[in-house]
Order: sequence, then structure tokens, then C-alpha cells
Amino acid sequence: MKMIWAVISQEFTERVIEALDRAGIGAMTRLQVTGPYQDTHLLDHPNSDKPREVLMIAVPDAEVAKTVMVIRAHARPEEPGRHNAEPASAGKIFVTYIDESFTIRTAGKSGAGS
Amino acid sequence: MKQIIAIIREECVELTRSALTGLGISGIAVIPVIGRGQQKGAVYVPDQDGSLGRNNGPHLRRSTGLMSGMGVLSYLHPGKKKTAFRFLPKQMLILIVDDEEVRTVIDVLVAVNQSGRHGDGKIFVCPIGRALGIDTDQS
Repeated sequence: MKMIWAVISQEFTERVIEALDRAGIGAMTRLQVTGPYQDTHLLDHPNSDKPREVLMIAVPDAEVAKTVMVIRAHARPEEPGRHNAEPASAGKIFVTYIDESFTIRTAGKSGAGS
Repeated sequence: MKQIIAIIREECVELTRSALTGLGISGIAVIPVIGRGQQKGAVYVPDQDGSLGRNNGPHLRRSTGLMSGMGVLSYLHPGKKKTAFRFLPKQMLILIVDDEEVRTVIDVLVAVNQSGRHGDGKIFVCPIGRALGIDTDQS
């Protein structure tokens, strides 16, 4: 089992969640963070931080690739040119190991789902 | 050494912190989050007195106000008989423990947070490659 940490722009959060829903990935945890803009030379205030969201999704190993693909496909602008103009602003995805996971309600080891 | 990530109900945080302190674990990061499980969030039907019908109704209403910046309010559907919460406010606890303490900590987390209802939360045990103290530079 793996934990996927997707740091994405808030404007794409809804779209990503709906796409994950359609892919059968419903369980997740969300938290708000901020991070620096990548293209600071375009900003009036270069030191300002951009609000982002982190989606934490625990998935079985077999579903990691599918989940990452769905997030990548929906967490960036649809217009082809815009993504190229802001290559680093769409976010990052980290995949980390989970040794064990437990559901508190049943006090038992569990599969995916946070 | 392991990282334990526990996602629990808001009202259980203080009790959990006390229990962990009793084990000698005081280094805990507590982060407000919103989340949902496999059931994709709960559906609450108002009682006749207007309170939310399912468990922890008043508390959830208060929490929803506190968490309005996290997008919870946008999932309310006023005017409908059923009020859908796609994401519920939770607290995420992150602690780092020695390998031999993992089982004890999990037992305590389950004992304190288990109500038997959906939404009690999850615990993830993750490997730690290396841990450094920022002030002491000690591994």
C-alpha cells in the first residue's frame, strides 16, 4: 500500500476529486497549505505564497499508477499553451510507503482509504 | 523508527493527546484536515427539533463553522431534507515513535478513538528514512 500526497492548485481541487470519484477512488484527506509561486518574476509581489491543497490518498500498490494518472490529467489547465507557460505551477505528487494501516472503528488492519 | 499518521475525530484530540503523554510521547503534530472514507462522506437528516440527526450533530455544526475555510460549507445543500457532507472536519496527528513502541501506540489510539461508528478514523504506519533535529542537528 502507498500514500499519495498530491499538492495541487485549489482551482483544480474539485475537478480532481470528481475525476477520482469516477475512477472509484473516494476516500481521501485534504489539507490546506501554501507554497511559493514558481514564476515569481511575473508577480507584483514576488514573496507572496500561493494557496494550495494537499490530497492524501491511501491506495493499494496496484492502483498507484491509475491514481497518479488521474490526478496529473485533471490538476493542470486544460488549455495546451497555458501549461507550457507555467510548467511548475500545477503542483507535485509524492508517493510514499505505508507499512500498515488500521481502521479505528473495527480495530483491524485495513486496505486503502483514509 | 516509524511515522504514525492518525486521522481522528476532532473531539477526541485532547483525550488522545493525554493518553499519548501518559506513554511518554509528547512530540505530536496536530493538523486540522477534512476527509472522507470509503462511504464518501455522511448524510445527515435533520431531526424534528432541527438538530442534525446523526451522532455528534451539534459538534459537527460548530466544526463546520470553524472549518469554513477548508471548503466544508461549499458542500452543504440548504433547503433539502438531507444535508450532505462530502468531507468532514477531522484532525490529523503525526508522531514519530521507535519501532518497539508502534504496537502500544496503535493500541492506545484505537482504545481512545473507537466508538464503533463510521468516521472513527484511520491509522497509517509509515517508514522513516532519517530524522534530524533542526536545533540540535542530532539524528
